[in-house]
Amino acid sequence: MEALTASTGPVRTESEEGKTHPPMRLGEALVARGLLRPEDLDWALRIQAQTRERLGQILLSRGLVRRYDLYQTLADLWGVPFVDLLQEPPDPELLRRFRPEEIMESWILPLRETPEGLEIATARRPDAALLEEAARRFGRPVARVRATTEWDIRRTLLRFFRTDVLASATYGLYYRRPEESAHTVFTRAQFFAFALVLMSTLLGLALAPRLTMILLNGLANLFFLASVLFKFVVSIVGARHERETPILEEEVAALKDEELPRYTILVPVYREASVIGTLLANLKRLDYPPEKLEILLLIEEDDRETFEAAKAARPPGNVCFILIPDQIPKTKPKACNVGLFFASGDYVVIYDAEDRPDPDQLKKAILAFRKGGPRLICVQAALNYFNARENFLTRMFTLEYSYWFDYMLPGLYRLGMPIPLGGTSNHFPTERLRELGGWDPFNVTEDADLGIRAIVEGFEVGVIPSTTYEEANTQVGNWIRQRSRWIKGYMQTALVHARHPWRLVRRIGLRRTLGFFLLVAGTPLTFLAAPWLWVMFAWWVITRTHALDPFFPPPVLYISLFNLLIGNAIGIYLNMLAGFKRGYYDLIPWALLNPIYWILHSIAAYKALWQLFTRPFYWEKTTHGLSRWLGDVHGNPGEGSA
Amino acid sequence: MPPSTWKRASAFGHIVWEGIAICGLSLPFLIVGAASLSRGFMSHEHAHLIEKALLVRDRGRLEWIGFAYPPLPVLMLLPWPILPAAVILASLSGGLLAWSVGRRLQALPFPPWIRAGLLLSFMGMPTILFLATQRFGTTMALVLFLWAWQAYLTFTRYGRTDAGFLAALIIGFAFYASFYAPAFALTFALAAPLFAHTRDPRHTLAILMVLAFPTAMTVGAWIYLSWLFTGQPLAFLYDPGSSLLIAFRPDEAFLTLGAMAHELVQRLLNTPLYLGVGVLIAHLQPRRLPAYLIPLLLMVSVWSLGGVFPRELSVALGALFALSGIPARTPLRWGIPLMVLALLQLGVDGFSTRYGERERWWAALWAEKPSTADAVEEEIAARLARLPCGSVLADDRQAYRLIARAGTACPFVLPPDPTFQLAVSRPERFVRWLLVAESPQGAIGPLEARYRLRAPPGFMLEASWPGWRLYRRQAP
Repeated sequence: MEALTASTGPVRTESEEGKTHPPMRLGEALVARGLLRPEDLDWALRIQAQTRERLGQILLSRGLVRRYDLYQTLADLWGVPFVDLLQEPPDPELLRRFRPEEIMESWILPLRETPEGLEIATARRPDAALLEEAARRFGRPVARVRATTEWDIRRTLLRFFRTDVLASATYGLYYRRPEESAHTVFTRAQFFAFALVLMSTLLGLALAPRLTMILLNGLANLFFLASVLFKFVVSIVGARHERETPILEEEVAALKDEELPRYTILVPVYREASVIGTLLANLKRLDYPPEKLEILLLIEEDDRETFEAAKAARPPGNVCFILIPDQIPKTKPKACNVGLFFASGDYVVIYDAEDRPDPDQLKKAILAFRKGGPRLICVQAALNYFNARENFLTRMFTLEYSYWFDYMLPGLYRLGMPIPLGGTSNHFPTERLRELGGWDPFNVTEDADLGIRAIVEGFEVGVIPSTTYEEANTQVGNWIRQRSRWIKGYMQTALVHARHPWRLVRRIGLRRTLGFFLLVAGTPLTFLAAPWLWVMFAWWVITRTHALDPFFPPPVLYISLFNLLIGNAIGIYLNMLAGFKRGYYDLIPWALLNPIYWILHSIAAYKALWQLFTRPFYWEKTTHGLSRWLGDVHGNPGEGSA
Repeated sequence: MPPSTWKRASAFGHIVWEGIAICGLSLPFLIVGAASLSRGFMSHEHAHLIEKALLVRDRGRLEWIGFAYPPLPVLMLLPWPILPAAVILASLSGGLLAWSVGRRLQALPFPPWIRAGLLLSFMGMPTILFLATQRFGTTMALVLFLWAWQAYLTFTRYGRTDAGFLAALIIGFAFYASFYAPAFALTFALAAPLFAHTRDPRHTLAILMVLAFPTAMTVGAWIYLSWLFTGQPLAFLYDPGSSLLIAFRPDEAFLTLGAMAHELVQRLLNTPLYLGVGVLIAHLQPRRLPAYLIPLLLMVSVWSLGGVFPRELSVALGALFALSGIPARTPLRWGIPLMVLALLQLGVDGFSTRYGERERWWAALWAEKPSTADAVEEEIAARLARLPCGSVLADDRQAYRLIARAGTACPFVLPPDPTFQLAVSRPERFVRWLLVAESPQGAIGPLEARYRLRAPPGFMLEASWPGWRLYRRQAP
């Protein structure tokens, strides 16, 4: 961000009355006006020496001055009048002649057109270079400059370009690359293919029921087998490389504050007033200079409660509220796209409201990008839960997440497979993310889709050895809602990328394509098919019937027995291993209860399938803030005791 | 050449080179195996495996194996269920075992000639030659045990969890090659807390679970399959071809404390290198001693639980643990004493061949022509092989050697066949011939119990050999 560029140097300017002011530094001016205590200034100056960041930014981000006071003081130092854009909004006709992206880039807002030239408002030091830049961008000379805050500029843009920002956030990807958007759930070819499969199955059941049943049974079991073996191999590869830490603690410690880039943190929140305080406390724990952090709190317009709570929390100046216009689809990716539009950091990361990232996570991400080369578009941190031991569900969820993020994702990374990103803690270079088109707001697992899209576009996705602790779902209903959304999103992602399978193979290769389908299409299919196999097994165990024998010729029987005995054992064991690696020793016996947990997955999968046809873009909101361990933000999440 | 291509080519070259090394190390075993083949010798283990493989191939269903044990070598023999294939596979397993030992020896600071000498002394041991030519399943299990042990050491020494998982998975898998895998898994699990330096009972329990779970699952899966297809979940424990229960091998029982101690001392004296390396470890790395003592612990545990622990297995394990347990930081001066101990072990092993099947094998190696027993078996097998499919009622718990030599299971009606029980009751309705064993230790199985002393109604004795009677149905 280029705002506040003139905050420290002595400025000799002329006011409108033509009086010359003695040169005064920003800090001194603030102290002189009683807006800042001298000892706070000293402290801020010491920080400035370490970070080489603008003093104004330091004061704002540390909550030492109010934004309004700072910019009024700056306006006086710059010798230009301050404008409150809420009171004196710009000329809408004039504003709409320019692209909002251009205004965001320059932090210069055209206010009015006068016969002498443009009147502009800016959050930057109004020097000759700025005037020249404004004239170049807007095609007219600048007649008058007024100072404003970057917050005002954002708000004004969102107010006047509401439709454009919304359209871009919602339909940007769909307009640019419709074939990559989940806006169209099924293409004609897919409908035709599904209809064909359905008709063939029904015809087969009518004409040759036994053979058809054997085929269906065999296919389901073969698919299970492939899925189990794939996950086992990926996990073992992940485990084999667990010692190869790509980023060392010493490297993190060696990073100097002054060389750190600006980072934008996007936090989409909806009806989460109760966790705002926790969120701010968790973000405060980040080991990153606050003056280089831009925290964009993405609050839905109709969520007054969260907005009021956020205001009441009196966050420091590096936290900005972005009110997301109320329009369908009301999804997290849409909010993130709006946030991405306003993000001014070099890198961007998403956190959920209740997230507790490891303090050094941003630094590790920076190091990963430095080492990763120009094609590395995203690094994913591991996710885990701070309320692991709250109840059965949180225990199982923790084991599952430990396995997924500690073994599966590193394994996929090592094998060069597509990585479906997790919902939060994915870090991007901002510009590259914009190039990729941001998130698909019609996909309810926009993160997973983005990871795949990145690979398809020739980018790389990596993982970093850092963890973000989240709140595990504590209630079954809430869990099923969340999981059904995830599974529906996987279905959407699989459908989107399966539209042109041959093209996909050409672009990412056969191995990666197979990996993608086994993982993204395989997960929902596994959970959809599992109940039928369980029912058959239970029926046989209870009744010892021979009615099923004809459907299990030797090859099908052997594969299904392998799946039953070894496949399930592998599934349980991988969860045990992940728990062991994390040091969750007391959770390991719980891994034996995984089959019960899998039943919940199947329930969620059927709900997801139903919604894929009835409400494909509906965002099943997960209620956060239910954990009774949430309040203790100072607990030790690694031990799960918080 | 781009670096990645060069790297791939180099990795491929490395694999090819190691493959050649394994084949080269298999060569001595192949030569010995070929010698025993030329004398018509066939071990019980190979006969058992080949018979099961033939049965599966002939009946076309895997469950026809009858859930006899161990399944892994049987599956590997399926494509080619003949004696030379078993010998070749055993030799290749032996080569793999020697290669694994050789790789470990490379880490030692001794001169190459000492390392080579240690390896050759291992390969030259008659016990190893016997196992690597006549016990395909056992040799394969030894390879898996060694790999699991090495991974286990990495886990306990460096705390590498991935190595712990690998050890647990390998030893779990090894159950399909050897009965003793669960004992290993249990010993690994119970010994792990000694290295973990934890007083947290949850941590200890976690280690136990992680190390023992795969084996528990593989054993559980086998029990389930056995129950599913035969109705007898533990049948594999007392199958005569594979039993580890003393009840079926009374000559290998050491039930009293005195007998156990006597046998233990004898076996230890047969493995002087194991003793020597034990002293070395106690001197240099005493904390590693418990892991080194696992074979002893295992032997005593198996005996105490009423199981057998074959002598050749304990000798092979002792030699393996000794050679792969020599600490990497062993001073150079220990090289020659270790070499002397290895040669001593070779000599002692060479002099103690007079037990069990090994004695027969040793004799066959030096004989000019096949033994009478082998010749008789060949004669019976050749006669039976010519008979029509499904015409001979036999019990493969005794006749497995004959079936293996016949090279086909087609003529036989055997216990896994659904008609077997009916055929035993009314043979005249189902078969034309009956092959009845005359076991020296009494009747085994319903066929021998009913027809050992008298011919079935409607049948007459067609031929008899030492230990066997062949009845033929009389013409109506």
